[in-house]
Amino acid sequence: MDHTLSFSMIIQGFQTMFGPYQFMSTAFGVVVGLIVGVLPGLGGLVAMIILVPFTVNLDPAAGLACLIGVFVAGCYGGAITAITLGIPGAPVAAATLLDGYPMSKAGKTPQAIGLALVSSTLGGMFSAVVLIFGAPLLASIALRFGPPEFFALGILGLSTISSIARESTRKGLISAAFGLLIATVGTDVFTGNLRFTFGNPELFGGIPFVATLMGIFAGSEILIQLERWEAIPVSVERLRAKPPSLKSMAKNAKTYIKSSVIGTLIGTVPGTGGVIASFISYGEARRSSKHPEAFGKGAEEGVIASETANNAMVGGALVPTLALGIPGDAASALLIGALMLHGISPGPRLFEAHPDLVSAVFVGFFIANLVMLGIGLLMCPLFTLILRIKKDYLIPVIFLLCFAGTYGFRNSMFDVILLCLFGLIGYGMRKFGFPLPPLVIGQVLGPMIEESFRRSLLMSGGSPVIFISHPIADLIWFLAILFLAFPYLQKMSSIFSGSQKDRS
Amino acid sequence: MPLLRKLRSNALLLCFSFFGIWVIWMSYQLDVSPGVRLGYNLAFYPRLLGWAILVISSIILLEQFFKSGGKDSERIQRPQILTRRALIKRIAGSTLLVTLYIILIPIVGYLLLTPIFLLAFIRFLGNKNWAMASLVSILVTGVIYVLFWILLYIPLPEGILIPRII
Repeated sequence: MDHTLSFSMIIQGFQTMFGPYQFMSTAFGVVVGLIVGVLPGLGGLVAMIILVPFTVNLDPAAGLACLIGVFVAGCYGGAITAITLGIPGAPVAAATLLDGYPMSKAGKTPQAIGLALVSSTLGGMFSAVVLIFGAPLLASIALRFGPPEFFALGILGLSTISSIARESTRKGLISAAFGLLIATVGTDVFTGNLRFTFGNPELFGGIPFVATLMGIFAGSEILIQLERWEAIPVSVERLRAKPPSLKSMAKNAKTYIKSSVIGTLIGTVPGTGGVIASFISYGEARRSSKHPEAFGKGAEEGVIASETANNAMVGGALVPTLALGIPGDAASALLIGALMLHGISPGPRLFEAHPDLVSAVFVGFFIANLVMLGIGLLMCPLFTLILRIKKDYLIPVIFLLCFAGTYGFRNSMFDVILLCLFGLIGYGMRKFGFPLPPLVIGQVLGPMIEESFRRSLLMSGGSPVIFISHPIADLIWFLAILFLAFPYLQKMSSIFSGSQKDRS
Repeated sequence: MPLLRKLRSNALLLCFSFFGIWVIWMSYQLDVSPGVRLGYNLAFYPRLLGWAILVISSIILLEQFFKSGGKDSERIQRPQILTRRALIKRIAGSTLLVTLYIILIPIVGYLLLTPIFLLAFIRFLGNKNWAMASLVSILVTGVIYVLFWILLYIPLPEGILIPRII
């Protein structure tokens, strides 16, 4: 296989994605991502979850482009709330708030929104280019992998939970094991026997991903929102975006480039996510600024650094997601799940089996960023109205969308019951401090982990030595252990540096 | 009672421990021929996961129970905004409405039941504006119907009381 997508494939991708059907799907995804991203507490992930059942009926390229559009726009949508209300619409916008909100208070709301929009677009487009060249290269290396390597890769994917579940890695492990167990329900692929189905034909094909996903995230979110009935202060001012001038962009070119690189690189490390990317980028911009004292008081560089990095992270995150089939967070796991619902397995073979789809998705990501720029500018006045939508309208509508999406997926009321059940489970897990993304990552990675685990044991005649007797697998194991141990190493290093300070 | 408080604040961990035991027990009920090669043993992998859940949750539980005094880090996050009574009323009422909707929809059908359900839910959540709530209920029902059934051919429950309209 060629290590990069050929020029003709990229051109073909552009032709596909500029088809009316695909382009409209991308634009629809961007609009939904912006609307839901703006609503505090919901964020792009909820929008992606609600849209999954819609995309199943679209062709795979259009469906994925729609979800990627939501992913991209959801990241930017959170910035609008952060700038105007001082509440990050999504966690990734937390760093944007530090300078965006002071800018808004100083009467520069249109400038701050424009800056966030342009920064997000540029960061996303930079990472799209990296994705086009980086993902096929990584996939070509991964083509040499056998079952032991894939098993190690699956564990590497799970090890990212130590970064996701910062508060309790062990609770994250329980959550992931629960997700892996959910994936075992149904017909065993090796023997054809049934497992944990209790004679229910609705479970023979396994627990549907849509019901789990909707229940765990959207269902639990509804219950949480019912609890937190706080009033959101609404900006009376009519919102508009004023993009920065070319001169101002040239002045801040260094920050744009540096933040794009930081965001993309951090995105490629599974489990890191946009929050880390935006804060590291913000910190670096402040460190290297000529006016670090202006940060936190409405510095343009602060908004640029945060927004460029959190959207550049998306392209970076898609590299391991598509090339290796390893999701770094819940949104990437959802993209993998959506691919699987279309009967397509992500991972290195995707690039051989569906090069047209891969090129269309890559180009779709690039286009989604451009579309976001246009729609973001046009839709800005509408955000004032969206911010005024009351929760008493929002909650029933979200429930109805979840209901319709889950029911429509298999035309089954049983799935709706599963949705409610997983909603309660998700709610309980959130209340008791169990992170939810590991559960979804576990369910998505479950089939690959079990299959490669059992295939490896078949190859070795039952000896577990096979898992550590392959050099590439060893390297992946090393990385997995490093990821798992990272929070503990961080803790040890802070204790050590604390004791050093005490001595001095 | 510190023991009761600890039990309550670790209830889900306790549930996970029992779940782990149940999974291990269930894995022994699966249809596995004696002497089958490990790779073909469909019970081995879920049993491992059951053990993993049991061991990890038990370790955290033991840690919590033997932790003396100090802050209880595992305490349930309490809602800050609503009173306990208002919260129970809101969650119980919403659950009841949703349960009724799920039970009735296969009989009544999406088009007839959904606007009533939405109106009831919106009003229950404290909305005072009848006209706007009715308008939103009808509009949202219609938009979802058009989007799912007509544009994307995704079926919604038709019910047995009235035939499909479009």
